[in-house]
Amino acid sequence: MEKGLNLSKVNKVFLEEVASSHTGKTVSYCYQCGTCSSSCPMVEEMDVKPHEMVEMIKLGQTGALCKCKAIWQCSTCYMCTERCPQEVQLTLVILGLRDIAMKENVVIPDSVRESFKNLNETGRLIPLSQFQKERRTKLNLPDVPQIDVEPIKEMMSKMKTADILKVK
Amino acid sequence: MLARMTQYDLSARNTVKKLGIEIVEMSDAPCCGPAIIKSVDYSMASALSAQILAMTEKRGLDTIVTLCPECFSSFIKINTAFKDDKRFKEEVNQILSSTAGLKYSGGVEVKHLLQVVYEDIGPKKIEGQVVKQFSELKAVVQPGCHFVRSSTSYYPDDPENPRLLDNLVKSLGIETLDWPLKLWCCGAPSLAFDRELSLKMAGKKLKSIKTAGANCIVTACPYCHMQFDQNQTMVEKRFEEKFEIPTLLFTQLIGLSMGLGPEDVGLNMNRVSPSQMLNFMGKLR
Repeated sequence: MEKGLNLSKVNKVFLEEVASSHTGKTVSYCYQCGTCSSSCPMVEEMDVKPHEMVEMIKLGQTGALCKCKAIWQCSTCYMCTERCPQEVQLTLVILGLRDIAMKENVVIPDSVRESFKNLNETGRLIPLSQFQKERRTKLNLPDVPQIDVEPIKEMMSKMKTADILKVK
Repeated sequence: MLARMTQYDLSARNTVKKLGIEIVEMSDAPCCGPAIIKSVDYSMASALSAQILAMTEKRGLDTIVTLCPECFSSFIKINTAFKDDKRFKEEVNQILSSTAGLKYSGGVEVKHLLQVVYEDIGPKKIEGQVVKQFSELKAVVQPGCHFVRSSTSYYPDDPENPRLLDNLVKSLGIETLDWPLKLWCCGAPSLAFDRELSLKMAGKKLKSIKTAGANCIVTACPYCHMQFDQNQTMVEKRFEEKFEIPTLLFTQLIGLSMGLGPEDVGLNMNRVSPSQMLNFMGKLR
């Protein structure tokens, strides 16, 4: 079947999660006008177009969605969300699909892993290098402050982030 | 908040000082919960954003100013969601109180530095402080996505025809050009996941800028700046085409126009050097 759709495999648990999510529930407003896809700067490179993604979500096709490259190609420009006549929060929904893809494929991109590691240790996504720190001192800029990471550690241990990061 | 991009941090501090704006620094603020965190756990990202807003509220401050459009967008999303969705507000506050001992009421106003400069200081005052007019520059602005399209219920600028940054540049006496791919994303957020695609986007934009006849790009986003400045040579290699178009952060351009020296705005840290171009115009010593 085209795009890997398998209508005998509809992920009902996923559909329930989507319906109760703050951003996911907006998917039900979509009437497939295609404005999102025609606004997307990345659409020519995508294996699954934005409006197709929405339809696949409605059909509970997590299997196919997790395999597509498009959810990682989205640059989060929000053009689709801005122009959608039905106010589907598509960009945020695509970001949510990444979470599901990471769990299903049992793989996390290195950049995601690094970001969370740094967040946990320093409170920042990307630490400043020694060179950058020294340059700041030379320019009389304030030193990099210490950030209290306890709340972040608490958040990570209590929330579903902890599950995702247990993945290899 | 300290900016990791040193020239942005430096030029912002020196420019706001020159404009007479006093800043209260939130040096203890952690990460704002940007897209990469949202990809894994939207609730946690929201809690991170709300935490900073709660910290601002706790200090008795009513406004937070960001240098980065992604931070801006994360905060705006919290404010708009807190208004529309009481359940979401409760859920996020529950996480905040059990982890950081904080609660956020939703009352902090969020601004990007660009708004403070253009709306609160105003073009007339800026015009009055210009001592060097780089009138030979033909600039294009990169409005950036996360500032212009952060939410469908709050618009700091027209999302289909953004003018804020153009008007700011014009108040410095510099012409700005319109160009076909102005509204497109620079592609920077895709760098971590699909490098080739990201650089292809930047290349398409740079080609469009070159065709429009611009000799300078002005941006209000460190991500866009990195994409057009630091990554320009990588793009040139892939497209087998020379662009050599310098990119300046708006704080760098304002600073220079108001008489700050190139070292005060970190010009030497820009990779595609504008010094040659500006020297040729006889404006920089």
